[in-house]
Amino acid sequence: MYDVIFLGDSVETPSLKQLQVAPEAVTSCKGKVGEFFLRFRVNGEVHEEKTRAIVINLPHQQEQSFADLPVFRENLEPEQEKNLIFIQDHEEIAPAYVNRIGLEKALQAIRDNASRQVYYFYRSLRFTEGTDQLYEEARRSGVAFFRYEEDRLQISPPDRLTYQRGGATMEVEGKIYTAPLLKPAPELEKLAQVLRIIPGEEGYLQAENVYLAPTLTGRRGIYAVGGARSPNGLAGFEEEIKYTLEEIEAFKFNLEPLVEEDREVDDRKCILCYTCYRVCPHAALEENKEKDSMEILKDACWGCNGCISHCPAGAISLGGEEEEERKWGLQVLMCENSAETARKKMPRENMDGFISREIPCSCSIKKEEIYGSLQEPEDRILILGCFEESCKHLEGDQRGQRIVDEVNETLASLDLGEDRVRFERLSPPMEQDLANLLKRWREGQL
Amino acid sequence: MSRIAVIGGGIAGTTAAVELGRAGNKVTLIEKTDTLGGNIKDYGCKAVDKCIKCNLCLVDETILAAQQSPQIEIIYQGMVNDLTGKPGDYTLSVEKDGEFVEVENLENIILATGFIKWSDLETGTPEFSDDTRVIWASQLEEFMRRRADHSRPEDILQLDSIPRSVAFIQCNGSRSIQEKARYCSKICCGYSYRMARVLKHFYPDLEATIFFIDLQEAGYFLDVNFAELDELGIKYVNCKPIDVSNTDDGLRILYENQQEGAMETLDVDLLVLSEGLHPNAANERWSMLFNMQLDTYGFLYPLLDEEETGIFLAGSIKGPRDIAATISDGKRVAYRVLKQKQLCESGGQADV
Repeated sequence: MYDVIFLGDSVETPSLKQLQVAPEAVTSCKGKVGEFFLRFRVNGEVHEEKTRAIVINLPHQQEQSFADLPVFRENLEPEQEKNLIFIQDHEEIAPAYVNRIGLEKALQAIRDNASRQVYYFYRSLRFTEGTDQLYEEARRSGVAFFRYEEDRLQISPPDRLTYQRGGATMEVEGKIYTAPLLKPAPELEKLAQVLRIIPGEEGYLQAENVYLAPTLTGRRGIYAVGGARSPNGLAGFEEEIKYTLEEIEAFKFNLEPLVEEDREVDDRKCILCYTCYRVCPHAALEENKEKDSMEILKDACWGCNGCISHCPAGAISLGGEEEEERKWGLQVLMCENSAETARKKMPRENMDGFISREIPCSCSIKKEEIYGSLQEPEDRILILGCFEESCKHLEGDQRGQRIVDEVNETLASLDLGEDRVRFERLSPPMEQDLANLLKRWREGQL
Repeated sequence: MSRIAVIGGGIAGTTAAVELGRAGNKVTLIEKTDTLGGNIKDYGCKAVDKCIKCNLCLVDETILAAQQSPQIEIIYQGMVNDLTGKPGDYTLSVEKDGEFVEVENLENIILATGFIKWSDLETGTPEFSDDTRVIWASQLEEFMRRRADHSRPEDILQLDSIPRSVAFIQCNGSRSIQEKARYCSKICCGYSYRMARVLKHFYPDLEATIFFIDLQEAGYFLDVNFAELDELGIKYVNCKPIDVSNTDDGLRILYENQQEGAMETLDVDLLVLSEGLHPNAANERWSMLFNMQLDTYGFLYPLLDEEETGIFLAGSIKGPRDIAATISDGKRVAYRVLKQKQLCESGGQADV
């Protein structure tokens, strides 16, 4: 049993038992935080190792910003003789990491050979801790900095450029190095599939979601750092990796489930259709071959109930759940991560006249329950979920929205009224918005 | 049974307390005001049509958890007065309602008293202090809190009419040698960026300009980027304005257009000043009481190994950090305390 397996580069950790595995060798990953079973292939042979946690630590794919010019990198040894030109040409602001490397290399170049000229052309610089000192040192040592707009720099590879500013034109000559453009590592796409992680927009292994800060992925116990996380991940790399390893260390003596309730799959009803497996954003479901049924891994479960609402066989239930007494009227279903927290901070009388219920995530609403709750023409349902990219279950709000849209479409096609079910988004600090929203919904003003 | 004391009920302290409580420890949380939350309790959600990662939604859950936890005893309006005892068995003397309460049997103490905003310092920009059109970034929070009533910022901020233009000035109160704050406060770039986005969301015609020295990677997720600012029609000018004066057309900002190398002016209806984070005035006392070291600016760092003394620092008492980083730091300190306890119980072996 390892404490941590690094996919990609390993980081020295004396107190953790670790293993390093090449990301492209990984073929499957079963299990949950505290006990993953990672399979990988070495020289055609399949190995399986147990580990408490997995850290994905890969460098960025570095692309050239100009086709004919080399990029500067951490291991670059600038040439000895010539004058040097550094160009940092980022359309958007440069990642602080790139900034640091560029400044370090420019400083090193002028220190190696004080008689040469070092020019640094940039569209924007960014200073985090340490880089402002680097910049100052570089200036003092004689690196010449020039800020430029896109059309004011003409480069003639391999070693000439023309710079214009305020009517003046300057021509310089020297070996040119350019800043790399950072892209997700090529292995990430396959890794996301194999490890069952929902990737972010650009393909990094961390979806942009507040609940995942700083290095979490949607699958508990698997962390993305450095170039697997995003360009932002590089500037704060030291701090993030320390935090990550400390959290992994804490698993050794303090690994508690995230949710209290038991969710169970009834093996007599489960038809092994793998719907839950596909729906679960946290990779908390697995097939149990002995029981011939799917199974929920409790330590991996974040408790969104998405599997319960999506199971076509109705096989998954919340342990100890009792059939609630049904009430009709104005029904409000509130996500426990946003609207419900806001409700707790709101005066109680604001809820008078509403039948409200806490739900673990807006993705846990079931169509048949909604239809069943619309008995009388005046019955209406308001579902309150989270803003996009702040759903604790990553895509729950979108699933919830989709369910509501489909229900409304069906109701409209059957001539059973329009807009009877409504989906709105809130966040925990919005108790005033909640009060206001409820008032306007009651009055039919939404 | 031994306890852990957490001083400061802001995000860092509350997060650490909840994390320790969950792991089965008795925690005493000492807060000087009568509510938890510290600096952020007046902040409002900044979501537009989607979340823009202000991280505020992570806080309420933690505060509710701290209030409900049977493991956590909260002393409101408590001021730490003295520390006695030795590592492993400290006693804190806490002043509450004019009386002194002793919190005994403390194995660990977590100090998390945070920062203060620049506007809370006695310096600042006195020439503008009466002008309602010049506001601190934190005053915009009032608008964020009340936007649910469809209150307009002009009402909340007591302006005469809808602002047609707004300017944000960055690096105000930090990156400044005069203010003894050469450091970057790390939160203001992301803050103004979000605020500008929210204001543009409510007032699409608003002309927004951000004056900055350099833009930071603002937190774990939000990468302030020029392309997005361009798309939103938010102008950004790389310069710290030189002068602001009062004219008939509004506030006139004098600044240097660096591309053209020329001085230019901009008239705006509303000027938002970013607020650098500054060390708490209490830090000096903490340094003596808890044997900590003050850095050049007045933030604290430990003089001795925190694991050995049992006194830990958490959050922005150590230097500026944003909400997400503060939460992470609170958790991290809790992990370290837990690990230390585990080591003690298992007889000091490194491998648990």
